[in-house]
Amino acid sequence: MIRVSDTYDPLLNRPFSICYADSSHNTIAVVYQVVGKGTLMLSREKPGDSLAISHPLGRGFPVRQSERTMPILLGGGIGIAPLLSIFSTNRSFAEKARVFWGIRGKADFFDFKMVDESLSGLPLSLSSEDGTIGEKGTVLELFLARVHDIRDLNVAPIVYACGPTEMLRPLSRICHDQKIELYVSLETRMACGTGYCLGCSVPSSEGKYLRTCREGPVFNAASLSWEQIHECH
Amino acid sequence: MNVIDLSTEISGLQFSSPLMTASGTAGYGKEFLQAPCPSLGAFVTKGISLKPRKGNPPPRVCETSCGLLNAIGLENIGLEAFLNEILPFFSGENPPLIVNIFGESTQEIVEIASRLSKHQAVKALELNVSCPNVRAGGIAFGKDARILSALIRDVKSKASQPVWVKLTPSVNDIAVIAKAAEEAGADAITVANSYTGIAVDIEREEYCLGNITGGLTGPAIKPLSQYAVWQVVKEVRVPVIASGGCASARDALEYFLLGARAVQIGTMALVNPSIFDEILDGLEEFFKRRGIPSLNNWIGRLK
Ligand SMILES: Cc1cc2nc3c(=O)[nH]c(=O)nc-3n(C[C@H](O)[C@H](O)[C@H](O)COP(=O)(O)OP(=O)(O)OC[C@H]3O[C@@H](n4cnc5c(N)ncnc54)[C@H](O)[C@@H]3O)c2cc1C
Ligand SMILES: Cc1cc2nc3c(=O)[nH]c(=O)nc-3n(C[C@H](O)[C@H](O)[C@H](O)COP(=O)(O)O)c2cc1C
Ligand code: FES
Repeated sequence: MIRVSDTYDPLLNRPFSICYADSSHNTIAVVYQVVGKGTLMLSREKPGDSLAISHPLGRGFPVRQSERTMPILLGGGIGIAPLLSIFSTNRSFAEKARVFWGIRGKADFFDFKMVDESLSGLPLSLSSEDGTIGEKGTVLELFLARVHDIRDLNVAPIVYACGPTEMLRPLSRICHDQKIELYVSLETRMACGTGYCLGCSVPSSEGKYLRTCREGPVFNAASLSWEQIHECH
Repeated sequence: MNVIDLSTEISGLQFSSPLMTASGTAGYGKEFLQAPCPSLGAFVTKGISLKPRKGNPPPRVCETSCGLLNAIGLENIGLEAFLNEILPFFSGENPPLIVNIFGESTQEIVEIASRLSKHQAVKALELNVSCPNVRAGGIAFGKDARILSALIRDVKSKASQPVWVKLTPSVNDIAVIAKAAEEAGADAITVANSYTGIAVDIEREEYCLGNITGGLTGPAIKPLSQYAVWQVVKEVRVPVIASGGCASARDALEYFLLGARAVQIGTMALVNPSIFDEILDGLEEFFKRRGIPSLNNWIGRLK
C-alpha cells in the first residue's frame, strides 16, 4: 500500500504490486499506470522524494520446484507487473518461464529492462489488440495458439496470470477444462490492505468471502467463484 | 511539570489513554495487538452477532471526497468462534477489551450479552444499535427511543459488565435518543456511527457499492459527528465517547473540548496504523505547551 498524499483527498492508500525486489540493494520496483487522482499524484513525485509504504502484504505467487513444470506468465496490460516479481523471488524457477503479454497498443508497451537489467531478454510473446506491436489479437489467443506446443514438451504448465477480469474469467475456464494449474493475482477496491476492514472480499468457490489483501491477492483460480467476480473499477 | 495525565474514566473503568479503536476497523484484536500498542486505551472489537454473518456482495468500499463509504454488511465470525478463538488470547498485558455486539432481535442481543458476561476479559459491551430490528419491521433499534429503551433494559438485566450504547446519527434528534438510553441504564454513550450515503458511477451508470447504500466515515463526517457529540453532552450525565473522522491530535482535542471522555479512531487507523502513537504524542505536546496538567482539565471546557 502506498500513501499517495498527505492530505485527506485522496484519503486511502493505493494498492500496488511489487514488480521487482532486489534484496542486495534493498530496493523494490513498482510499475504503475496513471488512471486517476492517486496515481497522478504519485507520478508527480520526484526522484529522492519519500513515500509512506507498507509492504510486503498478502500472498504472492507460489513456486513449484520441479523439473516437470513450466511456469507460464500471462499478463494483460499493467497486469504484467506482479508477474515479473517471480524473477526476483525465484530466479532458477523463473528461468524456465514463458512470458505472454497482451496490451491494447504500442503506447502501453514498456521495456522490462527499465525495471531491472536482469529482465532483459526474457522469452516474451507479445500481442496487441490493435496490432501496432507484436501479434494482433488478445493474449488469450496468443496463449491458446501455443499451449499445445508447450504440452508437447511433456512438461506440466503452471499458469500465473494477472489482468482484467474479462481476461481472467475465460482463462480460468480454459485452464479448468485443460486441467492446467492456474494462479491469478486479483484486483479489488481496498481500504486498508491489512485485513481489517473486510472491504476487499471476493467470493470463494465454497460460498464464503476471502480477503484479497490477506488470503490473496494471488489465488488458486479453482478456489474462486468466477461467475460472481466483477471487473474492478 | 513532566508527566501529563492522559488517563480517563468511563463507566467505572480506568483507561490509561483516551484513544480506542473503532469497531470494525481493527478486527478482533488477535492480529492487531500482536505488536504492543501502549497508546491504546481500549480495544473495541468488530461487531459480533450470535451467528456468523457472511456480509454484503462486493464492491464493499468506495472512496469519496475525504471520506470512505462502506457496505461490509457486518460480516463477522459469530459469538461461538469469538469465544473459542479470540477471547483466550486476551490477557492482562493487552489493553482492556470492549466487545461490540449487535443483532436483529432483542432476544439475540440479550443472549450474546449474557454469554459474554461470564468472561472477565471482557471489560465492557458496546451495543451497536444501527442494525435493523427484524421483529419491529426492520427499523433500527437506535431510531426509536421506546424500542431502544426496552432493549437496553433487557441487556442491562443480563450483563455483568458496563453497557456502552453506540448511537446511530441517522435520527431526527440524537439528544432525545441519548436521553432515553441514559434513562434505560446505559453506562456510557458512543456518539456516533457512520452516516448513510450512496455513490454513483456515471461512466457505467451504476451504483458504486454492491449494496447500493453504505456508511460514510472519515474526515468528511467530523463536523457532523461533533455536532452530535455537542448535542448529546448537553443532554446526558453519563460519559460520551466520540467516534467520527478523528484524524489528528487536534481533532481529538476538539472532541475532548466539546466534552467527550474518549475518542475512537476508525477510518484513519485503516490509512495510518501508527496514528494512535502519533495522536497520543500530540496530546501530550499540546498540554505541555499550554501548561495543562491533565486531560481531565481540558474535557468539556467549552460550555
Ligand atoms: C492487489 C493490487 C495490486 C495492484 N497492482 C498494481 C500495479 O502493480 N500497477 C498498477 O498500475 N496498478 C495496480 N493496481 C491498481 C491500482 O491500485 C489502481 O489503479 C489505483 O488504486 C488507482 O488509484 P487512482 O487514485 O489513480 O484512481 P481512482 O481515482 O481511485 O480511480 C480512477 C479510475 O481508475 C480506475 N481504477 C481505480 N482502481 C482500479 C483498480 N484497482 N483496477 C483497475 N482500475 C481501477 C477506475 O476506472 C476509476 O474510476 C493494483 C490493485 C490491487 C488491488
Ligand atoms: C470498514 C468499517 C467497518 C465498520 N464496522 C462497524 C461495526 O461492525 N460495528 C460498529 O458499531 N461500527 C462499525 N463501523 C463504524 C466505526 O466503528 C466508526 O463509528 C465510524 O467509522 C466513524 O468513525 P471514523 O470516521 O473514525 O471511521 C465500521 C466502520 C468502517 C469504516
Ligand atoms: S482492504 Fe481492508 S481487509 Fe482487505
